[in-house]
Amino acid sequence: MSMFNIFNVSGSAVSAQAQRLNVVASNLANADAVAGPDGQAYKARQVQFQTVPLGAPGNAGVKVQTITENQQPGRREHNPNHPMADADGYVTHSNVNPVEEMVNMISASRSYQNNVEVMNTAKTLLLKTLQMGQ
Amino acid sequence: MPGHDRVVRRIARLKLSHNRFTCHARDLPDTAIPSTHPTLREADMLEQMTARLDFHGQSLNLRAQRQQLLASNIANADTPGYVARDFDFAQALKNVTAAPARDSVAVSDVRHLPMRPGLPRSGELAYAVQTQPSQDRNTVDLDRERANFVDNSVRYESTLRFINGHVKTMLSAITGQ
Repeated sequence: MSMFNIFNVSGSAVSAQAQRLNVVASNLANADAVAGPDGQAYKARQVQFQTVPLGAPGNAGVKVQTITENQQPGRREHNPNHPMADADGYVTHSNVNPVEEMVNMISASRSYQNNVEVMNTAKTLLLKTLQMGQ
Repeated sequence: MPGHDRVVRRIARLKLSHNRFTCHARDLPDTAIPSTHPTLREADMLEQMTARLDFHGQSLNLRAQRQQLLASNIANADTPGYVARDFDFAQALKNVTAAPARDSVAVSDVRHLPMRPGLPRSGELAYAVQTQPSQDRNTVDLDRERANFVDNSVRYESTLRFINGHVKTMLSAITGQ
């Protein structure tokens, strides 16, 4: 049936955006994390979206293809008194950029809202279609 | 079955005489009421009554399909490389409601249903033109898509109201009040 597919399409988009929000939350939570004994700090993660054909021609949903890690070196800070400082007295922080993450979060939240609104409109239209001829 | 034929003929004659009695069929030319199909004219009238309903139905179908396309575009607003798609509604409605000339299928029996050109297929969907080029080659203009989405939903609803109004009109014509 025709318009029910909107719920699949927008539902997949909402799910993908929720995953993006999860990754942003994880990045922001680890923004101040420092490297452990192995010298490896937390690396910022980012989702990669991909189009998935759904149902009729032209109808396309979204899925998270992969989650990539940002391979840039983390910020290094000279702090010899820190318990996690290396032999030279440097502490390696994660490479998360909080400003970028906040922008990413707002974008994900707006896209999420858009898709919820699309589903609400589709639901209203379908309910009105049900009352056709009454 | 000759007996059966006779019964059918008698029923047809009874209906004819009934027609003559009620609506003065003798004033009409003989060809107006074919003897084999006494109810043909009623079917014609019903056809006329439902023709407009059929048109609105096709229009509603197309609106629903466009709504799905716009939903797909909004869903893929953040997908790299996605190209927004849409179709020309007026042209699509013309294609659907036109006489089945294109893509028509040979009919070898009167009982075969005519094949109509269906809804726009993948090849007939157009690609949206980029208004502001983006780095990831995504061509969705979210503002335009949202405006189209709202516009399309209002038009969907208005088509629904046309159908409801038409049904009410026909019902009041049938009940005669």
